[in-house]
Amino acid sequence: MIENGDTNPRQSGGREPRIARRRFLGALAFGAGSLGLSGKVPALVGSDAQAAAPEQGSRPLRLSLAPPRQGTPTPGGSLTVGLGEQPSTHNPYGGMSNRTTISQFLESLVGLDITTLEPIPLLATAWDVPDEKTYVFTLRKGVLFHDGTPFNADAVKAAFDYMLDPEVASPRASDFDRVDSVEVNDEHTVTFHLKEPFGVFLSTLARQGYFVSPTALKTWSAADLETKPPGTGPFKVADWIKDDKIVLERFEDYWDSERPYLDSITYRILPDGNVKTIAFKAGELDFVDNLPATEVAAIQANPTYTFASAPSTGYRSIYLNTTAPPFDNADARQALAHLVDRAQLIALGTLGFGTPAQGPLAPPQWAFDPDFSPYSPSLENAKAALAAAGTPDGFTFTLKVSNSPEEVRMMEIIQAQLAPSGITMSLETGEYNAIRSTVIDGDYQAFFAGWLGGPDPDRNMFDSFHSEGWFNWVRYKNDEVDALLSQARAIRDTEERTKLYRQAQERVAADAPMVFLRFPYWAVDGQAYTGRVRGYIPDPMQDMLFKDVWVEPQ
Amino acid sequence: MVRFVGKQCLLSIPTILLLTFFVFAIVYLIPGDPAEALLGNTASPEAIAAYRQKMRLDEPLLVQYGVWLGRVVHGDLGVSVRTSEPVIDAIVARLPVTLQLSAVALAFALVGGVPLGVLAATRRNSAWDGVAQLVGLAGLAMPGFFLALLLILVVSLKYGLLPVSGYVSFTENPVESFKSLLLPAVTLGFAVLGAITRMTRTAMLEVLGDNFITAARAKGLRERTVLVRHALKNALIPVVTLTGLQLGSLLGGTIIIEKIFGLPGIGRLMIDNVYAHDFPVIQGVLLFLALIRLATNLATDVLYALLDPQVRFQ
Repeated sequence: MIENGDTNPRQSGGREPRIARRRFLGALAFGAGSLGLSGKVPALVGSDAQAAAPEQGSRPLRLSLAPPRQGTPTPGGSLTVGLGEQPSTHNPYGGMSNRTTISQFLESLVGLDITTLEPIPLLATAWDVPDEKTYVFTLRKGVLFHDGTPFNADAVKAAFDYMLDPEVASPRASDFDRVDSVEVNDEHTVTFHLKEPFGVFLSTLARQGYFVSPTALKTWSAADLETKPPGTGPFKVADWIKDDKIVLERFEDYWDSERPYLDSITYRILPDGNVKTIAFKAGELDFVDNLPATEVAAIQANPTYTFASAPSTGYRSIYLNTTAPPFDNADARQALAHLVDRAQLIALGTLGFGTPAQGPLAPPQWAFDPDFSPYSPSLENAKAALAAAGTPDGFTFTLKVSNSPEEVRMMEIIQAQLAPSGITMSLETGEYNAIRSTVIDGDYQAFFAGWLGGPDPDRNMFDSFHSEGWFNWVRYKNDEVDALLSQARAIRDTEERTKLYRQAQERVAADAPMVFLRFPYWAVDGQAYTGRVRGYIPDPMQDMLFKDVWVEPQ
Repeated sequence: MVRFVGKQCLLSIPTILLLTFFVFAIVYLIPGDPAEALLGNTASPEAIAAYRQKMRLDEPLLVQYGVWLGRVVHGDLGVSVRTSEPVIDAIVARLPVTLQLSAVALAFALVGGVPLGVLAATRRNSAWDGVAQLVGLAGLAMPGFFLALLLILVVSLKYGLLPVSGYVSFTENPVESFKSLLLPAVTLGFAVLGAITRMTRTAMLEVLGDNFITAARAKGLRERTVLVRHALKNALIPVVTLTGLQLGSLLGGTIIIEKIFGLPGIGRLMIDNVYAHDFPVIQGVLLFLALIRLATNLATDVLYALLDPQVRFQ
């Protein structure tokens, strides 16, 4: 999951059940404290002022977290949400771009705990793993699809058979290519047989294994499946006027009789960030996603609004082509890693949002190591690395970056940080998809991008750093890392896997096929909502889940 | 007259053919691989390869063009790759929005521009003339997205007179529909208004200096009759040409305006699918817009001939 740097919004979905508040706040403390975040970031007053006096403008970052002004949920009412980007499709077996709406009406066998990112029951109430290649799920009873079809073992099998059918050619099929067969044991028990042990299976199920009514899969037209596939979620799609709005309605027969509280959700598609913010301020919207960074300060200052954000599972980094000069030399790559001042980059480049990244494992993931910090800005170390690389006076290279002003500004900061060592970085900007194509073909020296990651550390490492990874655009090959990553995805024990991923991360950071820059807070992609919205909790996967949300009567 | 129209229609056939080729080929000039862009960042290389084959993206360009043209001739613009929605349906669903928007914008530009131009020409160097010159200049110089934000900030946010964004269809509620279109239409029409004001003013000044105007006045005609019947009718000829040409820029302008105001029109359809590389939609919309442009040019020629008999006999 490569993300278009800092501008591209969201990613894979999953569903999070409600969590205890205490536990959630504990996680937040984790987010702000043990990350080495000083608790201070520059005020959001525009980059020029900050460049001049970053310290003066400092004030604590309110990572919102909406003092969950809880209370007793009131059923009824509706919510109007401003969405910056329209989902390309609602079909979970198609090419998904945006899960914000999908995760309201489709569900998977398992969900993910919002704080630990570990699997929890959803459509399956329990599971058993008799051997590493066999998963037996006990299904929740009394679950109906929106079209009235009962959810049972046959429905599970039908969905996976459909997804894995070569005729259907679902882009999701490759996520489940380790599934050998799905077996119906009885109406409420189903067994997945895997071709090989796969420790990421449950998390993949949570994020990719959505269920659509088997009746609809058989009889509905492709166009209807793209717009309103009947799932088992708390809401169902009532209407989708392309480029205008998506209307979801409460599903009366939802298996949790208490929820959802809202009668309906209307998503208004407003691609212009300024207009979306104005519409929010004018009271036309209760909720906005992807708030422009420049608006965050004003929104935070207004007590009638709540700004919400959470650390995400992704990272931002500079990709280095390890098969082409100058970065086919590990010393040259390390020189870059030594030179980059991550804290400065965050303070000046992203208005203070994010934490410095030293490796691919992200803060919300269980394998994250808060003490891992191999590189700190050091001209001396960089000089030594340059000498070892045989280019003591530095070298020249070209970095490709998408033409978004924010990203170019970040790269210009790095340009300045590299300059004292004699390394000259020139920028080549272009449309993201066009650049990406050349990067995939290996026609580049350096490239700036974001990785959205996923709940499982495998998502942040295997694809990018295993020599057979699909997104190994840096063309990195280290047998030791290969072995560690293959081993780590084949077992299920979290502690054991944590050790393996941390070892792999050390090797990767030492070889520096990427210069890790920043773990984004989910802040530039932050959200804001009005005082009448209650019970909302932002999650690291950047879905906006409204199952537990209610609105105060007006 | 019939012969004239027939000839113009025949002349546009080669243009249309050439157009279809460019419309088809231009999609291949968009950088980036359509299969990669469409399937998104999570798709595996195998999935992308399979997809490319399924969509016949591997075949030579001319073969693909032939297949596409064959279908287009039969009225089949294909199916959106992302949404499986037939392209023609997508266009038809969004057409009313864009047409309404353009119509209101054009009406605004004409109703405002022509009288202002006439006023400026007849009261040369007066305050009216100053206003006209200013509007003409601002219309040309002010980018639509900037004007849009200004209008939204003042009219909607500060005074709360009109909604910030969103669209209400005419059949649902005509009043609300008009309100939802007013700001976008004014934004869109402002540039055209400027151009029309300037053109009307210049043309009127020229005509008012002609001998036949002096003759008409000498005949003792009322000034009003002189202005409307004699001067304006002649001055309108270049204005009609300009309006016809501006129709094209109106349709182009909807791309930005619809995106800003969140209107579900043709422009949005176009730009969103360019980003998404949904090539059947891009080709379909492009072709559609190009044909509209061609038709408006044709209509301008015909209208021109009606206004100015000399054109017919050339």
